[in-house]
Amino acid sequence: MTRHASDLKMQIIEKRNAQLSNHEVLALLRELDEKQKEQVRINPQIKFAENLKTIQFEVIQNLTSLQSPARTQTPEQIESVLFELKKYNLTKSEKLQIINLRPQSIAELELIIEDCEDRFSTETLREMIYMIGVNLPIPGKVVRRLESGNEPTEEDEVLTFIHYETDPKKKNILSENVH
Amino acid sequence: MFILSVLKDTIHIQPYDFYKSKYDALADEINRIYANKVIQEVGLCICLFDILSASEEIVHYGNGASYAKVKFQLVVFRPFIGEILEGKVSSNTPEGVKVTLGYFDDILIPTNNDDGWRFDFGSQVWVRLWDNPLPENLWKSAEDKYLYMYMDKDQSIKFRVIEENFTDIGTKGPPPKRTGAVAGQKVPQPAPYEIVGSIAEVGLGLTSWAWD
Repeated sequence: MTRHASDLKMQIIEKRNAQLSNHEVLALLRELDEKQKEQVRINPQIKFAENLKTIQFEVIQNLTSLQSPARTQTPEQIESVLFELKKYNLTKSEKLQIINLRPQSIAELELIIEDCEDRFSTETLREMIYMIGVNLPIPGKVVRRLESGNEPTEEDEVLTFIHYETDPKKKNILSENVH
Repeated sequence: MFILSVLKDTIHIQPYDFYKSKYDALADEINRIYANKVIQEVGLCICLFDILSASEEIVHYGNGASYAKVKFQLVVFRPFIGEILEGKVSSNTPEGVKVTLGYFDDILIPTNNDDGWRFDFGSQVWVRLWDNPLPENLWKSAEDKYLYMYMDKDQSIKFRVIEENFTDIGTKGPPPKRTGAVAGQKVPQPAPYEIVGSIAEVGLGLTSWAWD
């Protein structure tokens, strides 16, 4: 039985089937890591492909660096911020970048949102920043609603996030799509 | 930064892997072949996301391995044009500033396409010029016309992806089937996948910069 050469070649079915947020990729790699640790426990002699271990390690390192928002995000936070963002009619890439970059100022939002000044007033952008800060908290950072100017007054709400659980074993950080 | 790509390929399972479940054997082999490799027009493959379908395995005459036609999804690094990324300055070259993400370091911010750059020969780094918001009468010298952002090594830098280039540098054939190790490339060649970035907007550049 002869096989046609083209049958055996690699084919690209769809170059860009979906987009993943950084935190989803981090969760996936951590799960892969756990699975491998389990395999080593059963069979200490087992060897994994070097290229796989290298890319796993390097991507996890990059996504868990101190500046990486993905380091402390959870699926619940993502769901919550996406729900709040619905009313602004942002594009998919704008929402994805908000999750990946966690902008903390209007200047940062302007880099992410196209035609920002035409689509949103400064007041709306302030609301957005506050809402992003509340739904995607940075552990230890205080979120202030800026009512007027940049100086917080007694009327402004102050939220402090002191302790945040980042241990993957203690929190279910797997998204539904992951096998 | 990351996408899912759907690929179809013929995956071989070696006899010594027959003890594994079909899914695990195929998954391990796909990861072995694709992890940390650039596929032209697709991007840098990270790892398997999911197997969508796999045909029945067929054992070929003269070779103990089984073959299956598999359709699967890979996690791929492929930022979109216009995306904002954050990396670290890795080096300053005649073409511009090289940035790395750790797992991917073929990122270049060219310095010869606009006048906002100067090269500092003393510290051998590129310097980005920003207009000084301070009014002219407060300048102490002509130098104060600009604010200077030095592209020092290992500094965190935010940039926008403005272009991507795929160069088919050819392959060395299928990876060796017996072990998991794959030969690295030692000859300097154009990168198979290269990203061109820019920091020419307010808010980009070194993350340590105080934008006031």
